[in-house]
Amino acid sequence: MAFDSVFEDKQIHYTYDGSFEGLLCVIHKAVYSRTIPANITSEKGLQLSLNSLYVHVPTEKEKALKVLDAMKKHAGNFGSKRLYYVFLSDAPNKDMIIYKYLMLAFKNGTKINNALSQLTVCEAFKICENVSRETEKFRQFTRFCVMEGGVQYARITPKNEILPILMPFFVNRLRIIPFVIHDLTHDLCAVYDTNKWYITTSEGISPPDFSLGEKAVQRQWKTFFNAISIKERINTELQKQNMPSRYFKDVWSVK
Amino acid sequence: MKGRENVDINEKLKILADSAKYDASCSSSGSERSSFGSFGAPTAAGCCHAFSSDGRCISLLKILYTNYCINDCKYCHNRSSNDIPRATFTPKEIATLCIEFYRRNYIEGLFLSSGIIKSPDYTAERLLETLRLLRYEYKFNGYIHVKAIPGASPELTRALGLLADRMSANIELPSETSLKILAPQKTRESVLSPIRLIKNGIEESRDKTLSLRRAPSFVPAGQSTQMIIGATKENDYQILKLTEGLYKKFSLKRVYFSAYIPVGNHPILPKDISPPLLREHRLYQADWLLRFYGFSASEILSEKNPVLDPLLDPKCNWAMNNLHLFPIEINTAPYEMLLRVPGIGVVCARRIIAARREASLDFEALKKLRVVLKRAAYFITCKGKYMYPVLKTNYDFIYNSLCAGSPMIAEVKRHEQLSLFSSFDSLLPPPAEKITSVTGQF
Repeated sequence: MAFDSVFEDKQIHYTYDGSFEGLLCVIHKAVYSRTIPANITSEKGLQLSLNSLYVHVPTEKEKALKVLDAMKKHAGNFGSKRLYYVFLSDAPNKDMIIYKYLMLAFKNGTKINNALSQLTVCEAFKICENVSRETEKFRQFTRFCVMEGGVQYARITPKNEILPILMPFFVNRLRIIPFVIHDLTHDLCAVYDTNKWYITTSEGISPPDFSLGEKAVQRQWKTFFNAISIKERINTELQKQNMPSRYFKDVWSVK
Repeated sequence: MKGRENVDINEKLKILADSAKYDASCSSSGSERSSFGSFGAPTAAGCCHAFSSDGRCISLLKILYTNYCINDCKYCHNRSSNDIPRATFTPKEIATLCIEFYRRNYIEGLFLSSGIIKSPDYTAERLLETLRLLRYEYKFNGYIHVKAIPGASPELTRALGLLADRMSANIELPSETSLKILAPQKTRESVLSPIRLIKNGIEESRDKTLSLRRAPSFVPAGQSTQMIIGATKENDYQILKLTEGLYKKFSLKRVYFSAYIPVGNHPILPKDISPPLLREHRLYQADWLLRFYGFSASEILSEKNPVLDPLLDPKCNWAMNNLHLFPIEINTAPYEMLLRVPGIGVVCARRIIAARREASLDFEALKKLRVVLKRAAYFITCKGKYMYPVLKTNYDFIYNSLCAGSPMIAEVKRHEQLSLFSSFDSLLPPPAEKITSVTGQF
């Protein structure tokens, strides 16, 4: 008895494998066991604390799909997309925000998406905006190099894990060209082989050398870039504001 | 230095980009077709891939086919009497550059213009050949903006329109008198006829899409035009009226303004002036009001008051002249009215409409919605209350606070303390406004 009461005082802290499906399974577990978790985190980089009871939830496909269906039904496509964006963010409390948001959605339906005066919804909205904005920046500023053999390679250092939302954009436009986008922050690689694309860890990835014409094209681009500016209207402050240097930190180019 | 043969591609690029840079248009938005095969895709929202050191966006490979020109327009960098290096691309060179830049995500597509060589028809044929090569040989499906060549035959213009996403014909100067003085080879009619031609083409193509299953789309991203600001004497009211007319009569997508940069030394042109960038900025702000905020030109300016205020943006200015309409209540005001509040844009207005369906809003909630209240605070109430109880609503107070642009509360406090002793006219020296955006974006 005494042993049980020790556990009752403890707060439930769910952990999962770090995938979106894993998080959905945590929500499945929380809903069906009628527990309100104190925290949810990925097992990666977990810091243990004494007054929490850690429960690891295994990822099961059926459960994840069930929650996904419920999510689409109650939060709508718009809300589901927002939650997925939150999941891809680097916000420290994103898992709990998604959990709370979904609980609100199960209760109130899709109209919760507009209730921005609610703290949880407002936070999700802000994080989602942040992720979309960063994705947009990398749509603009990702730079490819053409490597030997014709494969294209780009390096990016985003704060959020934006590869899954960035890839369709480039797949749609490059179509007949295979390419790799290397996310240095999260050590991930998105690979497109002109047929399908997938994301893998970047272990053991070493890009081949530049193709023969690469240097020439980069020089041409620089020529164009310098020639197109109107000297009488120079406004480097505005340039910097529109093109913050952090997006170009790791752009790979010929020196 | 006149043109040399066998200039290498870098040199050509330098010369022909340099000659093309005065075209303001660089938007890549408004098109989402996928009719030309397997490589490249336009995005409806457009995408800027870089920003040059003048702060303008680079979204398209903006180049001239050639900068040789038989015309001698006084305001133009490429006029035949100007002594500049000249070069001509081949269609293949342009196509290769475009593809190579595009696949590296440097650009969103091509902006192709040209000086007139031999004859307008010959020039248009060269452009057509370039577009044909890109679309059919390279199967390039990205964005292409091509200039209509004034004086070229309608068939050629139509053929170009079927391959391009956007076309534009510049009206160059805001009135016929100015044209007569500075561009003697051009007339109002010769400038407007390609615009009319493209407009008719777009309408025909729309009609066809209604009746045919597969109709080729003609200039799907619409047409734009450009005029030079500050080279001639037209005032802002005339320019805005003209702009409004162009939007209404020719259903243009954009009218670009380009601040005049001294490029010639003709006695009639203004000399040694710095480009009127603030004026250009104000005109763009007014242009936005015309297109997205439901304003008309005569609401923004009038015969009596024909110049845009350099201190206040046009929307603030309108609100100041219509103070009797304010304050408006955020929780009940219609969308059209929300849009007219200084500081509230399309995105914020939509957000407010959506959020107030769920709960009535106060200023805290507005902040959560990321509505910027710096300017809006003077013109709105939430649940019947102003943001600051001490807020005055008289003209002078608001005008001074808006011009000062410094944090609200400080203004209010300063004002409260000083108003006993001094008139506020002399209170706050308006700082020079920084230009925070330019031309071809979006």
